[in-house]
Amino acid sequence: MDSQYYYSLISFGVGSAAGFQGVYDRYSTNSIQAIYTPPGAFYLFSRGLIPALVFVICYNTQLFSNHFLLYSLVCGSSVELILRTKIFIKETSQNGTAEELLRGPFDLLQWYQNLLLQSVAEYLARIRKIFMEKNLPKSIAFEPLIINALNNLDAWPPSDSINQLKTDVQRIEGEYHQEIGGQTNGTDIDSKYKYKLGYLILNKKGPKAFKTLLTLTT
Amino acid sequence: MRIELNDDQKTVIKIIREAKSMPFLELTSLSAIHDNRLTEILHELEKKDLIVLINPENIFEELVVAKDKAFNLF
Repeated sequence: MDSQYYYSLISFGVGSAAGFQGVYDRYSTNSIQAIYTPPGAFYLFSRGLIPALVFVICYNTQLFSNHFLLYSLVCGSSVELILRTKIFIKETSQNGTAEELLRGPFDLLQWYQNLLLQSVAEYLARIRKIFMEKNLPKSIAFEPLIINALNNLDAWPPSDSINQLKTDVQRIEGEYHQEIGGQTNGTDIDSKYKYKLGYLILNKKGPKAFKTLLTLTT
Repeated sequence: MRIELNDDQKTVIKIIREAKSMPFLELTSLSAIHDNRLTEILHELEKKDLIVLINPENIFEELVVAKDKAFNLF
């Protein structure tokens, strides 16, 4: 294979980087986790593939025969520019305010991005659920678990976020007692509230704190 | 078209769009809304095409995913 084809990887990189911007805009701190999900990886790959193919086609048709580095960058950025284009169609009026109707490849790109990134969101929620199933102590009932969490919370230096978490944990405890009152078979309720407690701590403080707070101390 | 939401629906949308998606039990632990009421709200929001519910028949398996429309509401 002609070694010049390797320059298409630079176009691929430019396209993927532009794709990653879309992922970062939506997922910010979770964006790295998002691109490791199957739809996230496919999205980045597909965004890189288009400019890489454009480079290969242009090179095959001898549109350029030197300055490959420059042309690979041009292919990457030009494809991105075209994909982000919107063309003015007409001016519409809604409730007395004028709005411009714009259409173009960007609409298609946005639709594709939303479709894939929504699938990413589903994967991220599944990852949280799997984390909970793996790490939530199974042999401990809700009540000793929450007492343990509150005791462990007391060992942390006081701060606004810790106080808020304590309040939320106590709220969940109150909801549990309200729901369990009078029930003969509380297994499902117990399990449900263990999950609620786990998710609350995971959401507010992350996986490390989850393990610290829910580890049984003697 | 403008989508009208009540206060409970707004609270739920704010929480979901912060995380983009989450299990039902995580949402209920954060929102302080009773499970039954939250289930109703989620169905209302699904009808308005703002969220997608996956496995809604089992609260331990249920996932809530924000749709694109939910990010441009308020």
